[in-house]
Amino acid sequence: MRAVSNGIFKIEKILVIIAIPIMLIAMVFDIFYRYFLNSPLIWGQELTLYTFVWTSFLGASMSIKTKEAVAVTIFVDKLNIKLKNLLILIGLFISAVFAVSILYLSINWITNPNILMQKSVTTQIPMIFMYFCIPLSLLFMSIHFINWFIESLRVSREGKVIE
Amino acid sequence: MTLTMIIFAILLMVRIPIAIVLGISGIVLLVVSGNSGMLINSPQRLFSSLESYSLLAIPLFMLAGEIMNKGGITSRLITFTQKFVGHFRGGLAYVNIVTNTFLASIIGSAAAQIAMMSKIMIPAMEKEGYKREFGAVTTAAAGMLGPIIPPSMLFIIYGAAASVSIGDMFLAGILPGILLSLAFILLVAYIGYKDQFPSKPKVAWSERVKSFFTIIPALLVPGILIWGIVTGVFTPTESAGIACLIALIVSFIFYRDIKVNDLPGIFINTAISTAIVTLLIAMANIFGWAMTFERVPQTIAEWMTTVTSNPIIFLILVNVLFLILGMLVEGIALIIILTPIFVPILPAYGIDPVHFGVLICMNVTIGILTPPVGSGLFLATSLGKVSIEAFVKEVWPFVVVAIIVLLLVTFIPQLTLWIPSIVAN
Repeated sequence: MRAVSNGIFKIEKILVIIAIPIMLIAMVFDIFYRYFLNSPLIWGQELTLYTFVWTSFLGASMSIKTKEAVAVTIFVDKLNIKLKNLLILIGLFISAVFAVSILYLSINWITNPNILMQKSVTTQIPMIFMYFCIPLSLLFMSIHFINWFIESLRVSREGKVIE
Repeated sequence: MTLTMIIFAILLMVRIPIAIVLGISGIVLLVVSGNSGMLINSPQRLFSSLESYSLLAIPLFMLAGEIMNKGGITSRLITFTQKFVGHFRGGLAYVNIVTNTFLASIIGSAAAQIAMMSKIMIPAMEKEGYKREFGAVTTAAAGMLGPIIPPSMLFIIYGAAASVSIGDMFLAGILPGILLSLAFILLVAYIGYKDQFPSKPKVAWSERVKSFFTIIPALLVPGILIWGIVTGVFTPTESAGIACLIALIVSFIFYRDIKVNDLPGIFINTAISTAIVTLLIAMANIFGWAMTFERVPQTIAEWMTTVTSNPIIFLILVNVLFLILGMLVEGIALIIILTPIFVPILPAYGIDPVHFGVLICMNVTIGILTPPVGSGLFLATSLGKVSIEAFVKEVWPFVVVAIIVLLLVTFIPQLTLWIPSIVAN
């Protein structure tokens, strides 16, 4: 599981390293064409917007991997190691179940035939390309959560504090 | 709803990320209110909550800030302010505040500023004979300017949630930000006089002018932002894009501290720090959507209006509520969750949503300095290697000063609304 999670994290990093420059370049081109050449680009705004949505959801999964997502730690920090580890394990288990359930919902949603008919407003690109970031990032997030849970289980068996 | 709130509280206590807690609570609320059929739409809600040009400004401003910091702007700003205010009694404390004021016009987040400045200012202040905890406290307090002086992540998030012009929010933050900065300077002057802080010889004007030239390129960022909003040429999101471009040009051509190899790391950091905010927004959207089925916002609004019909008492209650909640919960999460509940009741009290937005953002920003939960407190104490107890002992004068400024902003709406109104005319 750890290898899968690490591999996914690598893929996520590569994707955002590609996505963020695209977002920025598309935005700069869009502004340049609109204000200086007076001929707005058709694809500029949509490209920036959807690379932003993709980056956000991929980054969300990455924030679980790097354990940076904001959580309230003040309560568990006051407890002894055993109880603290137990509560964190429960929390990670619930999170993993939630991620998998939303993943399941999103697969049901994206495979709905109606989705294939939706197209973006200006460029008429099928929305499924944009929507695909939701199930993909939820899949990645689920794997990171499951990996986090398994690792924490091991750490807690060894009697150490879960990070 | 009560069941959902209990679940919400329990989930928070077992250290589940707040964004995930919001998502779970939203789903639970949908199920218990008999709207399970709507569950299938929740992925669509997640997607559409971020399909917003206003929110696009968040990663762009973060990227500009990251590039500027790696590009060496922070150290140049410090050198510049040192030449101007460094010679006064307590010089480095002024340098800290004034540098943070400039930095706040480039960066929109308190946490980012505190992280950047703590590493440099706390050791520097200790070296010159200040107490280490005083250095940490000054840095963390001055970091509060980040989300008040434009650009500001909090203002973008509030503006998007309240359907208020982000340009107006940015303009409204200018005076409160300057006021807060001045108030901190006065406080440092008083403490410096009382504790006999060190002072240094003055710097020659020729050197001052020279150091000013080094920071001009960096000042283009706030310049273009304000110019774009005032003339209406750029939206805040577009100026964020231009700010990135300027940051790249300044860092690669003028300062040359940055290397191309640094960029992938900057992009990854930007993606993660953006996502920490946007995942909260997306999940809060599901929670807020589920609440509307239960008519929760309306119920709270009706209850609020029965408590008081006096706008001043209402604003005092809001300040107390947000200050207390801000001590316990991360500020961005609070703004995301509570904005949709409060904004619809504002017309009943005749309160301008721009004024209200600046107020609640100031409230939650004060919360970053206070225990038990404060991101600024945690950052400054861990980066500055200061104990939380020592920090808290020193921080209260800054918190009191910030609350006084907050009260001024609360009761003098012109402080926020004057600049947007002259620009509108």
